[in-house]
Amino acid sequence: MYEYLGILIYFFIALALSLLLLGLPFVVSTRKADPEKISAYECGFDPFDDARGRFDIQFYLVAILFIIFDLEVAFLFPWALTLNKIGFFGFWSMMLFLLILTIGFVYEWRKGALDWS
Amino acid sequence: MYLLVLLLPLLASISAGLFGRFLGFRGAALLTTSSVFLSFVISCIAFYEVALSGVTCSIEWMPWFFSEMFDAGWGFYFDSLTVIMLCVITSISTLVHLYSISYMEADPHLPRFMAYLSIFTFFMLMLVTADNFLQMFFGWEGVGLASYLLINFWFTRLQASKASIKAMLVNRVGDFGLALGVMAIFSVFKTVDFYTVFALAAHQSEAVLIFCNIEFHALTVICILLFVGAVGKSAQLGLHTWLPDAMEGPTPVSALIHAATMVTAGVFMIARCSPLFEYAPKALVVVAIVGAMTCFFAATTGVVQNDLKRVIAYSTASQLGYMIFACGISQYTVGVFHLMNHAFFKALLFLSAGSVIHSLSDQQDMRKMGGMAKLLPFTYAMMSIGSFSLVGFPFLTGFYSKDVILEVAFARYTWDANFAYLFGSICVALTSYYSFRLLFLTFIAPTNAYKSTVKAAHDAPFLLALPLFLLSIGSIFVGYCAKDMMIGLATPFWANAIFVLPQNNVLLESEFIPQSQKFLPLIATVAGAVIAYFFSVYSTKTSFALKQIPFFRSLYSFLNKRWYFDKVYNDYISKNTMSFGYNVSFKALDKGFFEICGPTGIAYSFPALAQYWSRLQSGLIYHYAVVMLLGLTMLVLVSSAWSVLENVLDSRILFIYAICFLFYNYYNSASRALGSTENLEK
Amino acid sequence: MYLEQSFHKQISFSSFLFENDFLALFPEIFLVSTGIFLLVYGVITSTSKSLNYPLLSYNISWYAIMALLYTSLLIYNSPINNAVLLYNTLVIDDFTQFVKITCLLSSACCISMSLQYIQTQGDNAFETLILILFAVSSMLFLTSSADFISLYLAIELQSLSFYVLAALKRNSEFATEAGLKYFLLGAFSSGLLIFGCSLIYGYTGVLSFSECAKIFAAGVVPFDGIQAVTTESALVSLGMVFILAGFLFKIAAAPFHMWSPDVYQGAPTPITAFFVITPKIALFAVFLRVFLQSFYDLFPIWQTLVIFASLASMLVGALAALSQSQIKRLMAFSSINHVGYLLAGFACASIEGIQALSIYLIVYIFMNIAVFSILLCNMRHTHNNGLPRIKYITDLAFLAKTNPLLAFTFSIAMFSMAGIPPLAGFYSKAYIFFAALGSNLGVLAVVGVCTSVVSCFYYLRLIRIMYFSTPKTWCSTARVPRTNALALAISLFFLIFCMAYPAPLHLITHKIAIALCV
Repeated sequence: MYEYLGILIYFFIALALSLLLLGLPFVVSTRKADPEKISAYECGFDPFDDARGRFDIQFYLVAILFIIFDLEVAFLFPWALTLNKIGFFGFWSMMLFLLILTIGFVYEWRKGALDWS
Repeated sequence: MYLLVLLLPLLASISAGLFGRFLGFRGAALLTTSSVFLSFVISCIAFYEVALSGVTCSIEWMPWFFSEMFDAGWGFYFDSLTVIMLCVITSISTLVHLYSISYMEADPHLPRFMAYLSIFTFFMLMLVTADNFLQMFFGWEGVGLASYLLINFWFTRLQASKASIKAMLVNRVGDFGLALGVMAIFSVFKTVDFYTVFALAAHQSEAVLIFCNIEFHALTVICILLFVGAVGKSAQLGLHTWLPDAMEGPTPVSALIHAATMVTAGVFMIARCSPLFEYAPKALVVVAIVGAMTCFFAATTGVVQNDLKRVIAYSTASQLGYMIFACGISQYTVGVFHLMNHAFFKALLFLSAGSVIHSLSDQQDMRKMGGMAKLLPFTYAMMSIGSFSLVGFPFLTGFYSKDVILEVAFARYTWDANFAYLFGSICVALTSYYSFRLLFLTFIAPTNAYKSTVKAAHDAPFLLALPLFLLSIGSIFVGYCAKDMMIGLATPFWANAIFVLPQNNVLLESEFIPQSQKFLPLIATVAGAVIAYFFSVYSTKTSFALKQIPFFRSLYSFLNKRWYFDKVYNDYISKNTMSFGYNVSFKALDKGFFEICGPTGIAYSFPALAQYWSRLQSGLIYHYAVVMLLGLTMLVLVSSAWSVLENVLDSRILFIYAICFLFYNYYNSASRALGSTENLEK
Repeated sequence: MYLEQSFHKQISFSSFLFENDFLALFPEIFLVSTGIFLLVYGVITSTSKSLNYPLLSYNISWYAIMALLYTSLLIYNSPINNAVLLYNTLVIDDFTQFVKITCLLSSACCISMSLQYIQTQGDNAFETLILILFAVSSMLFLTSSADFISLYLAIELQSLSFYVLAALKRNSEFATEAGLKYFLLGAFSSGLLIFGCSLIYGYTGVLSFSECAKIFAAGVVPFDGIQAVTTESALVSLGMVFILAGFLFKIAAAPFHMWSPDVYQGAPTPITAFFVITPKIALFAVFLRVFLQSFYDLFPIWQTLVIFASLASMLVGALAALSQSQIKRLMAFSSINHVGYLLAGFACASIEGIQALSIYLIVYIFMNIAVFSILLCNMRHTHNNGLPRIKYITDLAFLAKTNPLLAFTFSIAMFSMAGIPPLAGFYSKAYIFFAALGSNLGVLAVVGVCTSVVSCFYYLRLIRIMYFSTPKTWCSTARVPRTNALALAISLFFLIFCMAYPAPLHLITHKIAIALCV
């Protein structure tokens, strides 16, 4: 059981830290609204509004497309680190993967998913 | 070649029945008649080869049923018994075909009639050539079917329809017995093959069948069941009621089916199964007694009938009684001999009667005839030959078999044989009486016919006359020619076809009975003839006076009403069965219980269930998810706690659930019915 | 340890991979690259201004049919017929070859039946075909998969394609609803599936089917010197139950069937045909492999569950279909009913059972091809407000009057589905029941016969409507398209004459059953 003690301690530290960060603003923040703060976000949402209001689906489309390409980086990092060991086979495997990804990109581009209209 | 005997009538029947409209009247008639005639020619060749040259022939044609021990195939077996029957059937059938061409020429459905006749011939041949019980049963049912179709040939006549249905139903009782007999044979011998069964008969003579925990002697049971079949088909006492009614059919049909061939199938079957009957003495006693009683009953009834054909019909039943009791006292050869002789003179009688009826514009009542001898001399001659042969006038065909039957019955000193002999001797006189009464009333007595009919009366045309003539030759000579061959002492004719235990053979003893006994039938015959002359021609007043006496009057109606057999059957059996069938099994069970718990109930409750199920399909996704979750829980539960659940879900309990579902049906349909009545009230 | 070894032998590693594995996988690679190529071709051409935005669906349909046919030829002529590929993740043998070819041909049939629909409907969504190609290639991988990872990946690729296909008709409320329901419930079932896999992995430490089988057969887990009896472990059986639940969801067996009527009804008819006809055989193939290979030693447990699911599917399929008025919904319930019979074959887990199951699947595919090739025919209407296509079962009423031949073929298909003797449907059902009786599962056979009688009712009702009721709207059928006619003729020929000469079907299915069981 002792080997899990570290995890328990870590768990408590994480809890305490998150509570601290959540609680501090209520204590130390200066609340002063200025036009910059209450204007809409870039995504088009009002900062203080009903959560059930309408919004443009385009945000989500872009976000999802972004995530797909974002995640590929997660594959690229380990690949880059071991590239000298996996040789040409590894290299071309990743190239194939990227090619397929690019095709997806071409598709969304041509379909106009990236056009903001 | 032997198979052609069967094939020709079948093909003729198929072509006349299905393509009759293309063949035309002449074509159909010619085709069927010539086919049957060819079949007759081949039968004669077969008779020469098989019976006279002693070459028994067996043909295994093709398999039919093969299931474990049960191996009934299509096979054909030609021995002396078979070929005798073949000759009889094909010859009579040829003549009847020929006769029908003229007799039925005015009928628009002649091709159909010919097709029926041919198919009957085919089935009858199938019956006699079969080499196993199942195939024989096939032929047996086939002739029953053909008989039904032919009796009902004029299907627009109510009486004909009723008679045919009666024939079918009464025969069904007998067929049931025969079927049970075949099943019993299979259960004892594990085969239905003739050779095997007969070869094993002696070996199984001590076998027992256990039924309802009671042991029965197997062969006795088998033979009595087979005999029940014979009783149905050969119109023996008890199941005889269909035969007189069957006279509603066209006269050639009566001649072929209800006199010469089909009704003798029972006799043939008993002769065929002689190895079985020989080892079942008790069954033989039953056969002899029933035969003798039939003989007596039919003869007494025939004495007072007025319908020309009915008289001959009762005479047929009476003669069948002779044959059956001959078999019952183990003299199968004599029975078959009488069968053959009877076929000729009875066919002659029927066809002559048909000729009379034909010439008298379909008049069948003898009281409305008389004096026809002058108008129809040829028919009169033919009918006289037939009648003389029937009553056993010396040296005619009937004499040789009928007297022998009585002699062997006398020579066998058992009580059943004595009983049969007594009845048989009385019947000789009665036979003579009704035969001569028929002759006198029709031909000799002063005429009672309508003027119009007498005016139109004409003697038989050539095509009617030719079969009569040929049959009359048969009626005169066949007995004399075949006597030594078939029932002569130590004749090798039968070979293995008929088996008689040595102690049962009394042909030799019958040669040594007192001379007076040998003359007795002749005396009785003459006496009967004289009485008939006295009552029918010489002094009709006396017979009228006798009928005024209450005793004789009641006797007369007792006999005329056929001993009230039909009345008893109708009142006590048919009526009760009908009311049971309608009230209990139809109304209460079929339309009541089974309908509510079965079809109607299901028809009501399944839509209800279906509605219920589709209401579950709500279209709401959280419902779906919940159902999935429940299903998953159920699967987990089943996988982990199956040992507990299997008691609940045992298949036997599932069966009980299914039964409960039937009552759910009842509930549903009851509530539906309630709802509908409420709607009606509104 | 293992990884390091492979790093040291990298040259042999890569050469081994290229020489055999890619050769054996060539058909799948071909199909996937065709799909990708068609995607690029389609998207570039259809958005090209200089080409005036051409309509590509019809064109790409033919390409897709060709791709499917070529792939099936490649599989048929594959130089390697029995192999375990890519480090135990994929397997090919006689069984997979048969299933793959069936998948490919039936989906080619589905596309060719839908050609007219695609032409006239005018959605111009060539992506449908691309998605079908991807779904089919995922089915090929699914059929071949030999461990839980490849199983899961393939099944997810297939499901994702299906979700999109179901919702493809974006402006139809039904289609989007169907797609959304399918997606949510499918995600749920995928969760169940992967949870089951992870339980198995967590307990045994292996993912390959054959390794699992060895562990269960030995009955022990050789970990850390601790010998635990696994076959009696609740966790293993729990994992198996979850995997089974996921499987039952995918094939729409009760009690996980709820999505299928809505989805089949909401999706466009060609897609419904595709859903009904193609995926079942691939799913059955892989799950037969899982349950007969990996979980064979847990047979008593899963047999009970499969029996339960089979009974439930038969009953639900037979009963709920009685009150349906839309033909696609009816076909959905009919398919649930058929799945019940298929599961009965599954529950036998004997060679006869597998054979019966395969025969039933083939017959099922043919029957549905026959039905849907009729439903996909365009109807020509005399008035403006006539119906473009058969939707409600009462719409069938005019069929017998205006196109008796089509009505007759439809009746044959219905008779076959109902299991009327001389037709193939009877043969397959009888075979299933014999197999069930042979495995001492009398309950399944009895209930199967009973529900078959009940299901007769709604199949025959369609025939009754066709022949004996007066149509509300009269419309005549347009000329039956040639491709539909071809599919109809082939399937009808099979349905009628299968009984006369069933030997080839028998031999093939026997061979594959043996390939799977031994």
